[in-house]
Amino acid sequence: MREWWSKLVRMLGGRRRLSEELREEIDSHLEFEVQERVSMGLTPAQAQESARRAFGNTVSIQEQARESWMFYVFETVLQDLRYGLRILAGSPALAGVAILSLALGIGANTALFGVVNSVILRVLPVGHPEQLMLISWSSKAWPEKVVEDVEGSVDKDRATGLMTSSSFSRDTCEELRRNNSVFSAMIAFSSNDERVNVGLGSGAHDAMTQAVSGDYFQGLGVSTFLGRPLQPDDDRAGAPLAVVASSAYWQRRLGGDISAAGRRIVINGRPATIVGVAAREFSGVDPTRTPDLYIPLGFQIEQYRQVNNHDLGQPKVWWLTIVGRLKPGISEEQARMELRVLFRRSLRVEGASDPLDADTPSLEMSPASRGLNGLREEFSSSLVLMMAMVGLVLLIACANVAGLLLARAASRQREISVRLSMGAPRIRIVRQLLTESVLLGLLGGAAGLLIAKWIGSLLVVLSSGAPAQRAALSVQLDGRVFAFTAGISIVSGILFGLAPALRARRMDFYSALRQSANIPGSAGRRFLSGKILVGAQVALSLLLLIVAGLLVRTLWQLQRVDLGFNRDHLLLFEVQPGLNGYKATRLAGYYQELQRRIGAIPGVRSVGISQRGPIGDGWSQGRVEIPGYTLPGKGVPFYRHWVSPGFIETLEIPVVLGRILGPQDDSSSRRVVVVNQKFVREYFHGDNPLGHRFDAGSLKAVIVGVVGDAKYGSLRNEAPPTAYLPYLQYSRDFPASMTFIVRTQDDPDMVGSMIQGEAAALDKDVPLIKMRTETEAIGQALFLERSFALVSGSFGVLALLLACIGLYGTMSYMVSRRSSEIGIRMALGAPRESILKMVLRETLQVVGAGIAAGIPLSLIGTRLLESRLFGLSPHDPGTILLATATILAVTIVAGFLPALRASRVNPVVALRCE
Amino acid sequence: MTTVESLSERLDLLQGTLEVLILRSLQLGPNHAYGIAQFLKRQSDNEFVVDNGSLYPALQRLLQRGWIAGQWKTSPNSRRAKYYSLTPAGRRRLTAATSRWRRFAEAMGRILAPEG
Repeated sequence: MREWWSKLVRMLGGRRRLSEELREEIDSHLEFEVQERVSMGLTPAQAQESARRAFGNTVSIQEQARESWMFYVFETVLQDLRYGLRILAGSPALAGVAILSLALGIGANTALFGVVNSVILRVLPVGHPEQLMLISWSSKAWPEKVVEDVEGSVDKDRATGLMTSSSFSRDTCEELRRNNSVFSAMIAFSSNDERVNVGLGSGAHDAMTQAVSGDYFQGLGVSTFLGRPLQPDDDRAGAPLAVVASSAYWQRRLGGDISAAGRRIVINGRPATIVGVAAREFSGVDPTRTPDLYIPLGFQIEQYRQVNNHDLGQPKVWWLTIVGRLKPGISEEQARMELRVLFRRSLRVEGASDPLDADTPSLEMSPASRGLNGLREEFSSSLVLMMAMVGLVLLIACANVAGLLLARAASRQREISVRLSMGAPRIRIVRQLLTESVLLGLLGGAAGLLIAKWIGSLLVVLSSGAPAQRAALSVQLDGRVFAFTAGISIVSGILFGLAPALRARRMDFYSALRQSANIPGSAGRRFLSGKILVGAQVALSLLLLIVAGLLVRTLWQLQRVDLGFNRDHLLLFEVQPGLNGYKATRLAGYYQELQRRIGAIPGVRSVGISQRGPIGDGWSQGRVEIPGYTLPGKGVPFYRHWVSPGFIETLEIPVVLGRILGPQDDSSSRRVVVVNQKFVREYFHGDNPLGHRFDAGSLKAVIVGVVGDAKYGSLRNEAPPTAYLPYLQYSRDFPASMTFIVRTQDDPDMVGSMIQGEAAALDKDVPLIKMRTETEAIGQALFLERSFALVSGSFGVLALLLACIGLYGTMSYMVSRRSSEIGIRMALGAPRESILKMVLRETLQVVGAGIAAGIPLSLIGTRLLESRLFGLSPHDPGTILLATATILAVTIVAGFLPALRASRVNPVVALRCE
Repeated sequence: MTTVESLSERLDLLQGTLEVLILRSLQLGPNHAYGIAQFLKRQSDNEFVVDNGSLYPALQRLLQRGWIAGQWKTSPNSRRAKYYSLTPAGRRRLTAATSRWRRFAEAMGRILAPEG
């Protein structure tokens, strides 16, 4: 043991120690030579000279010794590799199965890591990203007094109820920018991207824009590779409209034209100039948004006023995200404290309250270098879960390969014994075996990279999700991903190579040389380690199958959940005539006319309009007071749907009380509203709501009807208290865009082209956007669940397959090792069936042990899934039973073949082959 | 490889052979480089005078292969020297190599022996 250690130390110590030692050794050698000559009678001086001459050139001797050392290391590694390759080539079936298992396991891990890389780990391609700080606010209750409208997402923590958002008002922005002393630059940009109509001369199309402050590009340190970035001057009132295009847009719509800088375009009817194209790797600060054009804040405010009649400059409209660059030398804490004070001051300026109020927001600050929340939050826990699953698959693959190698190790005993007896040190054998397994791992990893790329393309094809989601799923194979793959290949190789390698170390080669392997009763016949490996594989496969079952059933439940309306044959699309300059009565007229025309198409049963589609289009909330049922001054939350007559009938939402909206509800008649049953249950406690007043700020109406509950926005949550308001009664605020919902007689797709025709006939410059069936819309809303079901399902099947291969391999091996024992039994009169039963019994033992270990493991593991499930508990017995039954059935089939082979053994042949 | 001035056509030693000789010399007990060279010279009746340019690299190779181990010790006349000793693997190697050499030498002898 000590010699082993000192050898290791010497190897690690390296060349310098070797040189020092050599010199010392040569000196002492020379001493001996000198001494000898002295004792033969020479004088010390003569002895020295003679000894030196006889010794030879010390320098070149040292050189040669050093060379032989280095050459040895190099040579043996090469030898090990060549030997390993030869061995692998010698058993191609084994190598093939092993490499395939590893490729699948490693490939899946790599693919997922690629996604993790692009979503979580990717750092912003800006200058000094670590200096960038994202400002946000949090509040325990909705800060009514200072906020009326928040653009962008407001995240609510499930546990604490704390709300956070990173949107601020323009005034706050200005206040912070003017008075802070901690940021060298402070940029602002809109929290939501807006769609605009762009005219290029060759035609019109829609594009997504992000409004940014004048110092956006400079503050972030992002350059343009064509033209110039936006500058503060571009954001001044009256400045000509300048925009910067993203490089993706430049490729797609501008044809990669290198003279694009200076190109004139038309945005929502306004002439504008593209002054530059942003650097290639830059796609905004938020990884989930890929804007096509960057426009000045001033233009956005102006457009909003014109098109939506909404003033973004108001202090109660919070729509800007703020990112600041810390001055060098200023700490985060310092900055946070100063900004907090400034923020509170700005709130007071807006007429706000005592800062210690529960609903007064407080300021937070965090590093922005990873990009903003959004998709990352939504995905990161899902990704962690998926990584755990893939990790398990890899573990199973490794166990598989370890079992294969162990089984084969026994057949290599002779070879190893011979090498040992020839003088090979054990450590060398161990090292060579490990090299072999690492080689296997790397080969599996290389194949895995191909599989990862393939999985990546598959994911993109399968994800009919929104473009943002699709962008996040792109598996980019960059340096980090390669390093990850290489890393896990090597670690896997060591992991599964360890067992057989350590075995070799302990081997007693004398007995191994005497083929004692087949003597019944000798240790190693039972192959316990192999069985343990298979048992572990079964346990892990059970876990994965149960997880898969739960996720698939969740998806199934969600797809079949009662929506409260009829989802069949329903076609949806959006129009945005407001962007083309339609306003007020002309706008309403457009909607009504289009609705009428579509209703006249044969094959259309009914058509309705609402501002949002029922599922997957977000939601709109407000507060309402109900005189007699709510305290004065304290409104209750409700969800609102701006709809046209025909909406409720088209969706086939059942009417419970009173009437629904009709054409008689226009701007000249009394204002009415229809609510749903949830609304009545929550706020009226069962009383009849008809005729009651409905008071939501500027929106005052009378309740004239109650309809059944229909899901709004999300499939998982039950229908919220909802109010359906006729948009035609609010002529000041006609929405600039609306979603049309069409119930068709037959196949929705056929009617789609006819609808396109009608819309074009009405106004050819207003495009129809996002035409989809309701089923597709639901599919998109269930994107995450579908991905999960798909991924976990495939991994479950994969794990089961691997476990079966492992089981088959192990049992076959055991049968072949015990062929002499079987031969004896049969010679002594045991019937074939009893042999069959004996082997099957052993198979069942292994599988049974695996299942027994797997079930408690699953019970613990599935707890983590709880938040993702719908309609099932994580310990759903049906799923567990089904998974167990599946594993039992499949593994018994896998174990049947070796058992059959055992019963077919010819005793004469078996006994002779001793 | 050797710097024997005497006619040594028959003594063209291969690298591996030197290693076996070193192992043999250590079979009787640990020794240092000088001692090994002396042993070989004496035992072979001055036929094998090992060149240091071959000895030291050979010692390195033997160390790397784990057939010998080195340790610094103080010699009987209180001199510090690096002593080499056989490892179990080295012993096995020596046994295998010795038997091979014997068979080789016998075969050579039989072929080269005069008839009759």
